[in-house]
Amino acid sequence: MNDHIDIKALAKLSKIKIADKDLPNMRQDLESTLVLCQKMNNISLAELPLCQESPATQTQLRPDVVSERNRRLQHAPDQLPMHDSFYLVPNIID
Amino acid sequence: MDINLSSIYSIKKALDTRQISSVELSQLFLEKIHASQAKLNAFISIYNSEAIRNSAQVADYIRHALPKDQYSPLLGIPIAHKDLFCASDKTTCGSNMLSQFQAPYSATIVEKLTHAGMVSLGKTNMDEFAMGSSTETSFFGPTRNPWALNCVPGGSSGGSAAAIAAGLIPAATGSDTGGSIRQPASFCGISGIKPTYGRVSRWGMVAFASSLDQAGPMAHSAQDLAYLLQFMAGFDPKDATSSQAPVPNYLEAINQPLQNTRIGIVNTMADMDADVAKAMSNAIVTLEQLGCKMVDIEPPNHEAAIAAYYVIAPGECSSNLARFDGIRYGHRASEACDLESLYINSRSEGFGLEVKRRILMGTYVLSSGYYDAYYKKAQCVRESIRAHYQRLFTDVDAILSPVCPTPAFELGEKFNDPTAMYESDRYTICANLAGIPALSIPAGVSNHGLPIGVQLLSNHMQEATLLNIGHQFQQQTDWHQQQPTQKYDEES
Repeated sequence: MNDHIDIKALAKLSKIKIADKDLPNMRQDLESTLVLCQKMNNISLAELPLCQESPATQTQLRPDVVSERNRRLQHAPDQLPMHDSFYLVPNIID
Repeated sequence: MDINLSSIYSIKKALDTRQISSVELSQLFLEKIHASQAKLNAFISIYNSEAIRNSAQVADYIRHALPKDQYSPLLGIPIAHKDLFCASDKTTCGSNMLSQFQAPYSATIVEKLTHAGMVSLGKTNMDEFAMGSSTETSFFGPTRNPWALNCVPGGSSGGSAAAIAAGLIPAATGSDTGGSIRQPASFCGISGIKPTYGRVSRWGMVAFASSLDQAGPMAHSAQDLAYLLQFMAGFDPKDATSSQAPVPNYLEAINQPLQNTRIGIVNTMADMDADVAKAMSNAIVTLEQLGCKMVDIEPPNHEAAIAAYYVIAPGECSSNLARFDGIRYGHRASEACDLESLYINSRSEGFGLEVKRRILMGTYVLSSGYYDAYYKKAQCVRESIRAHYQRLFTDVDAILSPVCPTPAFELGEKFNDPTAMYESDRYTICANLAGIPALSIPAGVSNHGLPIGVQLLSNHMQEATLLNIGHQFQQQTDWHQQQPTQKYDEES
């Protein structure tokens, strides 16, 4: 892994300003954290069982129901006329 | 009037027998909070005494008007909430970014405990956005450990832990993303439980790492935690990750005998402080006396766990904290020439150093060139740790381990060395990665007079098992009743 960190580019992506005088310390902190993170390469994942959710933690998602009634006409009275849920657009004659 | 105010049970008894009223009780705790604030700095907000008085008066009225079995056992008991739970008031999350934020609603657990009749006295100090293990990253200044004022109380729920240990409040809420309830509980000599992921609603809790965050109670004893968790736990339709598993009666469960309970122990933790090792040995002896059977187990790879945690948590943090841009939420910079500079200036002024560090780290591990090498790999490690625990829990009912390799460290000792601070979370983060519950209880005192905790972990939704073991352990020991001898009120 190439772990040379471009702090300025990261800061720009994160929308955070890092003062020039703080760049060396920030780089050192992030690089030492990455060294810590690379210790996960010591674990073998070859025999990892497929991800299964424990029955005890199975969550029930909220019902996927549209509860708002259609207020399109109320909010956009000047919209194009519709037929069978399609907008009726004027024919374009070349 | 000599009333024992050290547990919910004893306070409830004093209220029921009219030795004290809720109004007097809240006034008593409020005075203690004000007197200690200059030295401990355990609170960020202390509520208006008139508002507290009104809530306590309502509790007193209900207690006198209704028969005992018709009101909650928590009626009229004071509580404080960690300042990352929205509470229809100022909610700062320990950050300049939210220092002026007024929450328009209350978190589900705040509402549940309020409906149970608890009287909230204020909001406790914490590491900024719950990122830290010492409460030193708070924008409002560090909290000090009531056992030794030169030491940290742990973090990120350090304000809650210090307030309970110092007797400023009998109970508080906390949140645990990588040990933020258990480690401060251990450093301050109190009890705290991180419930199973999904057991307690996260709605209204400012998010740090959404797949790891979990709210939980903190108090002096496991029995007090049972009282609190009984009201906090349960399905919440507003939290999509909330579990529908039924909530057992914890207060009944804690009185079960422990005969033949199988507890896994690890004999290969070489990096523990000698005082922590001694507390562990003593805890094993006590549990054996209670009839538990000790089983040697192979622990998950702590090195890999800490590595995976410090990829996943910053990744989720950088994503969650994107909303704090000065427009949608948070501090708005006064100087900006365009929208981009408004975002950048607001975020740069609003966030502290540790939060910026984690946002940058998260942005790095989620960036396209490194996603597979870090984030995807970390998720695989996380799954292997979860699977490891599932295998362990086919042989044992619970696992005993230290909470932290050392007792509380000194203020500033690890503040400028983030990796040393991260390493101190090595025993706590596995429970968050696996989503399992874990309980921290006091189990000894170091040579320097600092409390030491041990933690018990069990399978998903087995909080009752943990509280049962914890309560029985505390029937045999008095570590949870010990109090700091330091003086921290203004006169001292």
